[in-house]
Amino acid sequence: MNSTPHLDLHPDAESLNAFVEQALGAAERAQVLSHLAGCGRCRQVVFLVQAAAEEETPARVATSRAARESWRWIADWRWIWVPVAALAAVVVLAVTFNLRTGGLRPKRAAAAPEIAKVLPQSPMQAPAPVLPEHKNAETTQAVVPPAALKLLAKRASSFAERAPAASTGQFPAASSGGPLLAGSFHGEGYAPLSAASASGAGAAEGPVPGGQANTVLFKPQPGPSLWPQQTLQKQAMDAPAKNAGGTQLAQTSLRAMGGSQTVRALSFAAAMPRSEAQPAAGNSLAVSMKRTLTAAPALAGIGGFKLPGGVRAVSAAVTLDRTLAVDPTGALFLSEDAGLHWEPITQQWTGRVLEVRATKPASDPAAPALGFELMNEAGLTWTSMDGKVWKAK
Amino acid sequence: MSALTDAPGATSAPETISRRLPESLLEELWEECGAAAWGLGRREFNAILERIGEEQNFGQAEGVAASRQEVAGFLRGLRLPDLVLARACAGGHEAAWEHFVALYQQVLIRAAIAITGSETVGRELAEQLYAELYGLTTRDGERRSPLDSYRGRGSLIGWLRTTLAQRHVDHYRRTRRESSLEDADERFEPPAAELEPSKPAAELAALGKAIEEALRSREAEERLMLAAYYIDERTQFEIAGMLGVHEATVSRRLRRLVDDLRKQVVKNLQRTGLSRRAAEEALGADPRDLDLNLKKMLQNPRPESFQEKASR
Repeated sequence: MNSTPHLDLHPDAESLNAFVEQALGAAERAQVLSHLAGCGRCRQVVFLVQAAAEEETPARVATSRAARESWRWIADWRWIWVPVAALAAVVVLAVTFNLRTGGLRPKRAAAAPEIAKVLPQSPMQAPAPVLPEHKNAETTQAVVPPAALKLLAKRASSFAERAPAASTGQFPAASSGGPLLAGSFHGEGYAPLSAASASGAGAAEGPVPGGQANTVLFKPQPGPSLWPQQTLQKQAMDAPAKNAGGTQLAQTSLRAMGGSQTVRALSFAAAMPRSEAQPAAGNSLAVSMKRTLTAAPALAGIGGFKLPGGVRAVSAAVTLDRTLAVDPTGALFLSEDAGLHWEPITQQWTGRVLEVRATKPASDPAAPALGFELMNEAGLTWTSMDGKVWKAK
Repeated sequence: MSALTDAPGATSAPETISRRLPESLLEELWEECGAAAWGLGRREFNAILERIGEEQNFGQAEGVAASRQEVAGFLRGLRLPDLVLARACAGGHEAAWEHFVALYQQVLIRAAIAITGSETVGRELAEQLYAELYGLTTRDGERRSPLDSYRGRGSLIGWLRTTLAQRHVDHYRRTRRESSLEDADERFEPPAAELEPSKPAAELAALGKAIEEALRSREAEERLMLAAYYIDERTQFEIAGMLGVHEATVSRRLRRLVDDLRKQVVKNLQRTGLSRRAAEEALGADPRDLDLNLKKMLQNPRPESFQEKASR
């Protein structure tokens, strides 16, 4: 370690300290530097002094801080704008992203498991589907086909029987796979609740044979809505009393993403304990609910998916992540964000498309719809898994 | 005795500081540093300043006479409150000593612990120095305190830290030299002589000389950086703190320095008659084959001994 044979020729503490504190003149500094270059002992002294001084500095800072105890909160608050600004930026980005991607809609649907129905604020957009549990029988009769109403009521009562009365006040959580009755989206035998005006401008379509496809058929509704919000709200309030067996009618307002429509969701759900939702018997119910939840944002457009050009869809089909819609001219459009944005599909079929439907695997009717099927005016069908590439069936 | 002149660099007959400097300045310095509180009168204070100034030639290079302005600047640059406190303590002034204890006792202990890295050893070192500072040591019947050697160029606490560090390092080096071989922490390195040298002896000697010349041609600060980084294995951050520059500056300068040294060595080798390619190949020699004392090389040019300087 000691490379210098002249151990007693080192600069004294005064010079080394002055060097460390940068208090030497140029000539003296050069002299000390020259010595330090060749003297390991003095370099070690200098580095030790530096380290000791650095350790002392935080202690002094801590002491002075303690002396300013009464002002510490001000000093601390001076810096709080940094995390606040960062948090605000994150919130703004998250909201912006959600608004653009429509990410809020599935979340909202998942948070409140329910079947949504659309009540466009504009009377021109009022092909309102109706639930079978409406108190006002006349109104219900005017819109819902009796067969569909009967079927829905039957299914609702069957859920009600399975649900304990004590749990009527609770909606099943989305993750629990609890049963949910869909009034506007047909599948597993549910009737399609197409919008129909009192004037008869709209025609209710019958269920798809076999009940294998989730199909929504509706026609544009030129007339004013028969279902003003007040009516639905009243029905929503009355419904729980009627559904004493545990079936509930809930009403939730959802704002359709990117549009001005207010989506009023009317739902009735048979509350069930979570334990009952898990077994095999509940699988189909879980699938039903999952499909329903997935369909909820899409249903916002059932009252009139607004396609490019401002025209409304005459037929639409929904799978877990895609929506297909046909405009009055027979052109096919695909949406991957629940109807916010539409992409025209190049024609790979003959004739004009009349109807599009979602298809499920034949082996598992309870499985969610995974593909699509379209039918032209000649009754020929084409199939597609992604809605983009079509093959003649 | 240094000369005090009106013009920088001029020489004239030596005069005392009190005669050459305005009385008002000395009065101002005396009042500012609070020397009166420690019982230091004006005359005593002036004598201290004069002795310190002469010892350090008022911050000027050897043989250069300081002007009045330079003297005034030098005196104003001194840590006069620390200086008068240290001198008062060394002189046995009780109030000054109490003030010193209140200010520096705990700081001294913390510094000693930081330097030694051990609370026990640190406290022992601090107490030992503390006793010496109080003046328990006597010479010729007179009380002697290391505080008497403090000259106010840096802070008193810095001087205390440096004194502690010097004592610790000297103690460590002394005891290590006396320790047994089993305790030695020298890293074992295989003797180079047992290995077959990768280059001819003449080539290795030329390479060694070229390196020595290249190192000796560097500035003192550059040699210090090389020694601290490659021999002491200090971090660039530590070196930056020592030199008072930014860490990035040290990094950049070291990189440039090594490049320059390599080029210089190649040039030096070429001067001995080697081709450029052969010179560059020679740089690939195994360092263990070289008989180089880098520490000694970095030491050159040898500065005037501080001990010699102090003894004048």
